[in-house]
Amino acid sequence: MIARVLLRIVAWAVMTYLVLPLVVIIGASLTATSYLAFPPQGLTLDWYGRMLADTSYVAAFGTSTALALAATAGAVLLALPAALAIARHDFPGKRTLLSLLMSPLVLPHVVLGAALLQYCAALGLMRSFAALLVGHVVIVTPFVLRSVLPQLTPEQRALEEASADLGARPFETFLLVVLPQIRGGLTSGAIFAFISSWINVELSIFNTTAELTTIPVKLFNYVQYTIDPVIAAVSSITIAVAAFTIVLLDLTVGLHVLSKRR
Amino acid sequence: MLPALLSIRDLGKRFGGFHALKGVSLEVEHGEFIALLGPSGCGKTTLLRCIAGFLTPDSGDIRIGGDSVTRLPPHRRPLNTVFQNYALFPHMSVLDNIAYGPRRHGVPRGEAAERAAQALHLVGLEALGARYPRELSGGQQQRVALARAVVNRPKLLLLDEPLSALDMKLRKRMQIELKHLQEKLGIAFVFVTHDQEEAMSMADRIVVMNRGLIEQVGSGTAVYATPATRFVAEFIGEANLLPGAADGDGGLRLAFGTAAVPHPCPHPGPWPDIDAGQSRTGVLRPEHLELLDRADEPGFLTERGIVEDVINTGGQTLVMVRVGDALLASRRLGMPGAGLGRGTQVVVGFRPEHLHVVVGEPAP
Repeated sequence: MIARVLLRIVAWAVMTYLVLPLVVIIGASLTATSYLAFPPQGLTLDWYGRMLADTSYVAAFGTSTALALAATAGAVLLALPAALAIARHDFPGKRTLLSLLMSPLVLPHVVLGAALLQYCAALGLMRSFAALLVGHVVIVTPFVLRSVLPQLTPEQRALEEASADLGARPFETFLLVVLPQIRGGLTSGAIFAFISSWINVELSIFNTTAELTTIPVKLFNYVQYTIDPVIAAVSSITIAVAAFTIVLLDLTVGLHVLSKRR
Repeated sequence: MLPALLSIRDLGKRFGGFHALKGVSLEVEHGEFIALLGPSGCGKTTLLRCIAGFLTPDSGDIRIGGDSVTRLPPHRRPLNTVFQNYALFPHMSVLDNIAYGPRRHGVPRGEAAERAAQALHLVGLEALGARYPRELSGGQQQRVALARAVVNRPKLLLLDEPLSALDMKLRKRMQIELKHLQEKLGIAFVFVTHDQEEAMSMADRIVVMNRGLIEQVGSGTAVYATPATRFVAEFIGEANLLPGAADGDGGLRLAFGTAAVPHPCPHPGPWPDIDAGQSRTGVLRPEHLELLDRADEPGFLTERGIVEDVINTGGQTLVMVRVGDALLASRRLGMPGAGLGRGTQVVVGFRPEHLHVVVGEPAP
């Protein structure tokens, strides 16, 4: 009984600790002062208006969203076949391939960003959306791979064999048995991928221009010269996007897929 | 003549340095119940997986109804499998699990559901169609797996130790049910098991495997009464193994008891190709070794021994008798009699016609 009460207290303390900064940011975005103030002094949506009036912010949101979606799709298309091949087959260089695909998790993204800049300059793709996309796919693929691989267990393999045994062609087995079974891992991997792309500064900053920029890079550049509640407004929007993603996920496939382990 | 339902010729399979199958040949007729029996690592599961198509053999050929299927992927082979842990699709209801097979063969949704319901009825679970596999007991999952495997009406059903996860009582009941179902449907069963009792009680023919080879194929009675090799003799049931040697005239000199006191043993069946001195092993089942009143009992080969243990196994008594270097087992019906205990001097003996002889020496 006491343990349960303690657990609740700790859980709420952690929740508060995690959520408080968000409350501060959202609160500060509503202040009527021209500097960041919390608790807000007066209430206004002016700063949101200011942000929306600035087309460069709107464009940056567009770039970030398109980039995160495309990078996530690319990561899923790369990581899913890779995970299936690694889990199902023995081939020379398998461990090397896996290490290579996972390496962006441990390599500094600054280094990857600089390397990407040089490489794309040589190809004539310097600071283009394509260059950004390639970089983001590389850094978010490990998230999908890491969450899908543990789901391809021997038990899962037996299900695939049962499916083939009952007459399903390989693609039918993939659609009807593999995908439903790894849905949880795939979804959580994709969310991690989306969010890592959405918040990335280090890699993006080398490959963006004044016209082509992402929200985190834009914020990063902006705060070096100015600090006003527009920052808070932009941050609040990013928080809202993340929250919206989670709610959307819950409404469509259900949040339980994130915790379900077979 | 019609080709056999399943014909396996000279199948070989290696896993790296491990030789799992070393040239296995076997024919299975329509409606037959075959048990593949052997210790773990003997190749029985590898053989089953080659037939199902989950493994490709390195050499040899597998034919079903006369057509080679060796190179066909699993989904194009005309057979079904019951998997060891059932492999039911957890994200589908019981009925959807069973309808999965017909649906993949192009049967319309409504008819597939109907067939699934029939198959479910067959295994006595018609009320559970809407449940999910995780809501079922082990025995129920087993039945669903069975229904799912027979709903396509295959001519050949492979079963990979399907009862091994059940407790003993349920296993016994499922053995009987499975046998009845097999007879009712007329489907040929190839049943992998390491449980010899299971094989004996269910199968028309038992295929005893060891180290990637078939040691013997025969009815339960045949492999028990006339084991082809020493391995079969030891693996199927209990056996007293008596070392012996050929006498060169088609007979056998048997060391029953101490090696110093050999008895001549006229073995039925001539052994003309045996050179004198070649080693043989006499196989004597415990129920054929009797405790006798006197050493000159007519028609018996006898020895004196000392009782080491009397084990009551419920309805049967096992008496372990030390004869020379050997510890022999004698089994008889009924409770242990009074006056028989550790250290009792007894006379044991058997009728020579009960002795079965195989090639080779007994294992040390």
